Amino acid sequence: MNINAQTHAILLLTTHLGKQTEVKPLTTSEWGRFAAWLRSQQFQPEQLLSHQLPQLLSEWSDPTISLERIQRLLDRAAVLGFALEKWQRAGIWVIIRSDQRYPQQLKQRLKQLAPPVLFGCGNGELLNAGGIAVVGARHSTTAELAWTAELGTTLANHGAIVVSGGARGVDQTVMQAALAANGQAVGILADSLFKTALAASNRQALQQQQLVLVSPFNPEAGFDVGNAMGRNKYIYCLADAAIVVNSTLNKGGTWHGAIENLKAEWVPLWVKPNSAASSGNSALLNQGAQTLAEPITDLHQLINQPARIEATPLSLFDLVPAESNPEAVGAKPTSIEQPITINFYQLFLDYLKQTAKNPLSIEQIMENLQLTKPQVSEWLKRAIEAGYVVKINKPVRYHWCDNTKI
Amino acid sequence: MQITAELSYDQALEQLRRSLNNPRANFRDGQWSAIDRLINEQQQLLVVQRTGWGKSWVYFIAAQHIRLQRGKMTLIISPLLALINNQIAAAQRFGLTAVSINASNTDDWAVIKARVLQNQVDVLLIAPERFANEAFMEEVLLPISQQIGLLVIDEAHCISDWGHDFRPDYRRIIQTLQVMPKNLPILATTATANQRVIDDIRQHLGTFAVERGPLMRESLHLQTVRLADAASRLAWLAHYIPQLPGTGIIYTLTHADTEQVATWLNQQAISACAYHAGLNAETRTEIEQRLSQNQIKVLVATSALGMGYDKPDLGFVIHYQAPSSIIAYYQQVGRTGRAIEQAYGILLAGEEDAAIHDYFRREAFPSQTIIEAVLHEINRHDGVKLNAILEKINARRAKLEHALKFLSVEAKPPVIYNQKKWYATINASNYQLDHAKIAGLNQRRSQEWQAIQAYVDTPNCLMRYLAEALDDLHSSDCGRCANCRGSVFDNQPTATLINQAARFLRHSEQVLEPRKIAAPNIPRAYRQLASLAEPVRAEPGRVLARWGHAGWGAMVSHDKKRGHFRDDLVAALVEMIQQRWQPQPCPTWVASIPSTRNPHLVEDFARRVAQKLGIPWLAAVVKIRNNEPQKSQHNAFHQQMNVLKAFKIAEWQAEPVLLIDDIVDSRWTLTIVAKLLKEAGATAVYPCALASTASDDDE
Repeated sequence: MNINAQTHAILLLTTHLGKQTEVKPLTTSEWGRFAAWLRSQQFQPEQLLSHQLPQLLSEWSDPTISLERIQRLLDRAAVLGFALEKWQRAGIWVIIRSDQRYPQQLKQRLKQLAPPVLFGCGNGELLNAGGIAVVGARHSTTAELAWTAELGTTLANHGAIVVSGGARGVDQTVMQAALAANGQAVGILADSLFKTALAASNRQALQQQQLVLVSPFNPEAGFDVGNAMGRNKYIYCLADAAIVVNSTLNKGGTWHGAIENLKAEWVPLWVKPNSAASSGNSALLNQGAQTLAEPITDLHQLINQPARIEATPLSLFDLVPAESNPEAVGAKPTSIEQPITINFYQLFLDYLKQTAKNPLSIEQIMENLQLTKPQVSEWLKRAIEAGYVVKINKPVRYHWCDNTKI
Repeated sequence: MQITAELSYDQALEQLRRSLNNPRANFRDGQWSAIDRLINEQQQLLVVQRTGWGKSWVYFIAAQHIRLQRGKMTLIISPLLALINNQIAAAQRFGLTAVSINASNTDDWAVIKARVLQNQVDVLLIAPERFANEAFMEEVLLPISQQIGLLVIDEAHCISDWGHDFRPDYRRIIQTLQVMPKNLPILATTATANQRVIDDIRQHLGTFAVERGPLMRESLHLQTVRLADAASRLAWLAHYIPQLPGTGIIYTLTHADTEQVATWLNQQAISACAYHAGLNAETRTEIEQRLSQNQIKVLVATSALGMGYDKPDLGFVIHYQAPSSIIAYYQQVGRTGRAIEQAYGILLAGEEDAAIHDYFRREAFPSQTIIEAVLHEINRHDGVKLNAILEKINARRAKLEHALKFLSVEAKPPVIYNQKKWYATINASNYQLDHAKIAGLNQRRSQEWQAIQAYVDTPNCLMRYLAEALDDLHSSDCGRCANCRGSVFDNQPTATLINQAARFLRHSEQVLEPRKIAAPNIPRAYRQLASLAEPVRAEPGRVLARWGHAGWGAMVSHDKKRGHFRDDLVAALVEMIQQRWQPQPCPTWVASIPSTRNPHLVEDFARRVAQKLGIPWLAAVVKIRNNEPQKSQHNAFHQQMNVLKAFKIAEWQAEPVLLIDDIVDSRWTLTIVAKLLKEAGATAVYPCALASTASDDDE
């Protein structure tokens, strides 16, 4: 494992290490904010490791990310070093967003919410090769698991990479079936990467480059509901299409993950037919998923759905209210030829309301919205006059006034 | 934000003077520059300075600053077990609270860990082998590593593959350093590194800055002496040591030699203790303290005696056999003459040295066969314990452990130890033993052995030879060594003393302790046969000699090959039994271990011993199964299984019996046959063998 200073800095700032929690690592969005500032100052993250850190950050100010917090996170050098040595002996590597192996789909679909760090073991090239996500419950019936295993075999035989979460039940069944059929699989784990990478059941597939296991969390972290939920979106975002084997209704990881995907319109969602009242499968169809027709004869049928819309959460078009674009919910084709009426200034305000709770520089706004400086300045001026936004100095930044209503 | 204040020269000097309570103290060459780079530039630094240069000033001043300005602790990794108390006291003078965590204070780990977490500890000292202890890493080091603000690696030459005593634990350390973020200041120190070692360290730790100083020693008188046979060297020691100033260390190559030399010196009224890795940590610490407090004249040690052992007024270091390389020699001889005017470094070269080093070189790396077997076995499991591997692989426990350790510190390790089990990693399938690299290392080690031979024989200045071999460019003739000034020892040991030493070597029998516990994991059906309850155990016995060694050992190995043990050995054994051992109650009959391969050799010998003792020999022990040769069984499990159901007792007397075998290794045969004899009715069994082939690292 060759770890450069940039990776070290990001790991120190964003990774939970050890059991002590007296200083909280930056969340993905906090890191996004800090990274954007570093970029705007033309600093490299590795400069954070130099002895000139205090001078470097003298201009930084942020309500949740204090300088002291940054300093104390960076002070965890020894604990990180010892942990990395252990992880690398198990064959675990680390990639950050700027690494070539980092999945481009995650960056494109999640932007700043893409995990800053991925730990992994196995064939990293699979991360940029797409695939079919298969998700489902930990507790499944024998029949469901048999169906899942068959699905894994079918997908492997079609040359599809199976993307799943590595959890018990459907996840493990589909991955193992695909691997047994000489297919390939990507496991995006919410916990215990270290242990999973050593398990005999994964060993051969890892050794033969059929499998990659990745996790955005400390490889030794145990199960955590929040992490498991947070990880779902990465499964969808790494794939070209997704299949839900079974989901409970209105609850559970599978349900929430599927709904999240439907809302964000990452990939076409296919559901195994199940008419049982307790099953969430039919409900997902109502939310815009499609029924999986068997047998699967052509992967393109799953993937090349014209319905899919490139969604980017922080672009202006994402903020278009769902009802103004009803087609998107059903992931049906949408076309630029259809008449669209959008109030761009209103969208600009929506964006600030959502994002500028913490002060933003004009450069950050420009970058996030892909607007020119005169346009941003113009709208900011208007927003300040209307009392929506306050300007603060040293350095100049803008933040949203919560007591106003649009 | 708390801003890391810089440490100015004046502040550092003030700290030093206050700590040493000496208003005129000054930094020595290079000390301030090291502190400056470490603290103010947050560098990772390798310092090469001679022993006694004062590296502790550097890390104690730095530790003070790290504590005051950053609220963090300093972790020192050092192979010293010795004088931990001295280190702790030295730290105290610098106003630092220092503690050590080591193998001898496991009971205190929890308390120390709690103190560290409460920020009550400024300096924590640990030994490098702690890195190989999973419990320590998981339960102690990882949790407290949040507190570490400065890392010190002592004896850093060990992290080089080219270092004379490369240790697997240090490879773990180097791999840790390679992934350590650059904002952790690290100080690696060594007194003994030539340019090749430094280059090698830099290749591993590319970002480390290097500082080096001169290596010449002012007070050291060097001399080399070739004395082929052990008796002459023992006589030399007994003759000259009383003439040498103060206390000293004798380095030998094997555990057995430390014991033998120490015993001899004590018989010659020179107080001596043996010291080697076979002793437990507590005993070792106690022995080190006895030397430190001048309670003994000399410590007879293998290289296990810490690098890092620090007794400033040590008067002499003598090598009973030549060490493996110049680096090893400089390291060891450098222990002496640091705080005294006159000190002696004498190298006695013997004829067995080359063979011993040859053996060490052959054993340094695991064989292809054992590596393949180990990987195959581990790959069959989802985590497997060492004892279970031993059942499947007929290899010595120490060899297997060595192979596993070797594999687990490879750059891409094929195996990993986790939660007390061995696992194969993703890298197991592509793993290849790097034969070219091993060949290169072996060749290098041969060259280093040649260089030490050249040192023994050089007519030129010995100190200059050492300094130049270590790439110290500031060297010149020392004017003090035996080659510059002539030998300081002129009167020779007397012929009487040499004869006395030769007799001592022939009388150096060892106690033979029978096994007391059955091997682990014996199958249920064999448990009864294998159990070693107190009533069926043998008494402590004797082995006349070490196979092939000075004294009788060479004669035993010679005669075994010829198929007949000569009468001299009968006489020697009987003399040993009657005059020195004198077992009570005295055995009244003799039995011997039968062999199907050479049925008459031992029986014939035992009959002659019985005759000379004037007691009967009985054909008591009969072989009932043609088992594998015991010497082809390499660990306790296989050795014990191999001798179960192999013998029966045909006749006996309900009296004490002397049980004779020729060569003893694992002791399982004697243990099991003794059990059968006792079960049959013998009242006591005294095992006795001509020679032991058990190696020092045997289980």
